[in-house]
Amino acid sequence: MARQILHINTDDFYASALRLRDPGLKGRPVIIAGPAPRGIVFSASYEARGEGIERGMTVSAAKRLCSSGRFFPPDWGLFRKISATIFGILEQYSPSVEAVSLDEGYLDYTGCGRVFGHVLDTGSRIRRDVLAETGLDISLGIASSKLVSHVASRSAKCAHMIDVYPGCEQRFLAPVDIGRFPIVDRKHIPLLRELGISRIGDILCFSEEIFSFCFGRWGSRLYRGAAGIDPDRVRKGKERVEEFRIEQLLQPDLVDKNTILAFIYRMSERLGEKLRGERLLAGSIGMEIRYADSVTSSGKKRLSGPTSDDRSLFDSAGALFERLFSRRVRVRAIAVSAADPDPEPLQICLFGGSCGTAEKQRRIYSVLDDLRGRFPEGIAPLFGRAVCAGGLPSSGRQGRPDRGARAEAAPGDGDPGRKDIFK
Amino acid sequence: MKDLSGFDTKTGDTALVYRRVDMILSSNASGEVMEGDCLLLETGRKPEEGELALIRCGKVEMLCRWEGGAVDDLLGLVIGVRRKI
Repeated sequence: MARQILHINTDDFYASALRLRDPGLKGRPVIIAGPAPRGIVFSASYEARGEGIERGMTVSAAKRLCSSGRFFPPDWGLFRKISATIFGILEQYSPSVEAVSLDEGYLDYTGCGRVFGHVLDTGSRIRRDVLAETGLDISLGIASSKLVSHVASRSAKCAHMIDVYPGCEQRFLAPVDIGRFPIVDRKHIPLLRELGISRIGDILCFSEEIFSFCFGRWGSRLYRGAAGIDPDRVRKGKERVEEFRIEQLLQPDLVDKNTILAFIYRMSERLGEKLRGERLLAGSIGMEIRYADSVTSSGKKRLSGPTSDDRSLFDSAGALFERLFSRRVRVRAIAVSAADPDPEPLQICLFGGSCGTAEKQRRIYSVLDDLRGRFPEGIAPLFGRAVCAGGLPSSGRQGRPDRGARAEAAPGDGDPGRKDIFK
Repeated sequence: MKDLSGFDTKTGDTALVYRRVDMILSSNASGEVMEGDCLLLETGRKPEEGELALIRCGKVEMLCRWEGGAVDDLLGLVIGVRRKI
C-alpha cells in the first residue's frame, strides 16, 4: 500500500500569530527579532521579506532595509499555544503526527482514508478546522514520502495543497529549483550550482556513487531523494528528537579563545543536562561558528562512546572548536549540538569498580541538574569563576560566561523556533 | 497552457505545467479531480497504459485513463493536483 504523508505548513506563522494579537499589524511588515541593535531576525512576514529582510540578519541591518517594519520580540507563549492547537487538530485525523517545528509537521494518513475519506477532502477539512480554531491559514503537501510532501507544500503555499500521485515523485521533483529541496542547506547551494545542478532533476544526471564519494551519506541521501525515494517514517512524540542544539549569541563579538571556550563549557553543560533529562546519550557532537563577517564554519565529530557527561561533551566540543576556529576574526555566535542520540541503558549496577563510579557520577549530575533548575543564575560561581580569567584547567569546571550573553535554544529544547541564529 | 505554479517548470526535454480544470469531462478519472483544481501535467513523454491523461477529443478536453491511441491528442499526463483549500 502506497504511503500517504501530509506535510502541513502554517503560512507566515509567527507574523500571523502576532497579527491575531494585534489586528492593526495586518498588511504591515512584521519582523520578529531579538533586541536591537545586535539581535538577530528570527522570522519576517511576507511583506518584510519583499523588502529584502531575511532570517539571520541583524536588527540594525533589517532596520536600514525596512524602516517601516514593526519589530517584536518572539512571544513563545503565544506561539506554543497556537502550535498546540494546530497539532491537536492534526491528531484527530491520524495517530502518527510528527512536529518538525512549531509551525510545520507531518501526518501519516496511510490507511486513514477508510475512516475520514479521500485525502484531498481531509486536507480541506484540516485547513477549515485550523482556520476556525486559530485564524491561521495552512498549506499542504501530499505524497508518498516525507521529502516529496515537504517539497509539495513549499510549492503549494498560501492556502493551497498539492497532491503528488504515487509513482510520479521523480517527475514532480525534476523541475523544482534546488533551493527548495529541504535536505539542501543554503551553504550547499553554491557548491551544487558549481556542479551545474540548478534543479533537483539535474542530480540524477550523475550517479549515486559519485555523490556518495563526494558528499558521504548526505550525497547518497540527496541522490535518492531526487529520485523520490525517502523511506523515513513519520515519528511521533519523543521519537522525533534527533539532535539537541544549544546556540549562543556572543555579546560583544569575541576573539579570545579561552573566553569562547568558557562559553562552550557552559553550553556543553546545558547540552548534557538536556540529554540526561531525556535519558539519552549523544553519539556525536557538532559545532557551528559564525564569525562577525557572517562567514560560517561547521563540523561534526563522532564521540569515542555514547555519553551525556558534561566533561566528555566539552572535551570533544573543545577539540572541534580548536579545529574549526582557524580565522583571526571575531566570533558572533556559536552552536553546539549533540546528534545520533541513543537511549541510556537501564542495566543496574551489580558490582563495584567503574560501574560504581559511573553511578556516583550519575547521582552528582542529577543533583547538579536539580540545582541548576532551581537556581538558573546562581550556582555557577560555586564552580570556579576564576577559570574565565585564568584559562582552561585540565579538569574541573569552567567559569561562567558574561551574564549579558543571550542564549538561544533549539528543537530539542522545546523552542524549535529559537534555532535560527545561523539561518 | 498557463503556468500557475509560481516557479519555472521547464527542464530538459520534459516540462511540467499547471492547467486549471474549468469543467470536468471525465470518463474514468475516479473522482480525484474537481472543478477549480489545477492539474499538474507532464508533457513530452509517451504515456503508459492506465495513466491518468488529459486528452483532446474533438473540440473538448477530457481526463481519462490512457488506453492507447494517437499521441497527437495527448495534452499531458496528470502527475498531481493543486487545489485551493
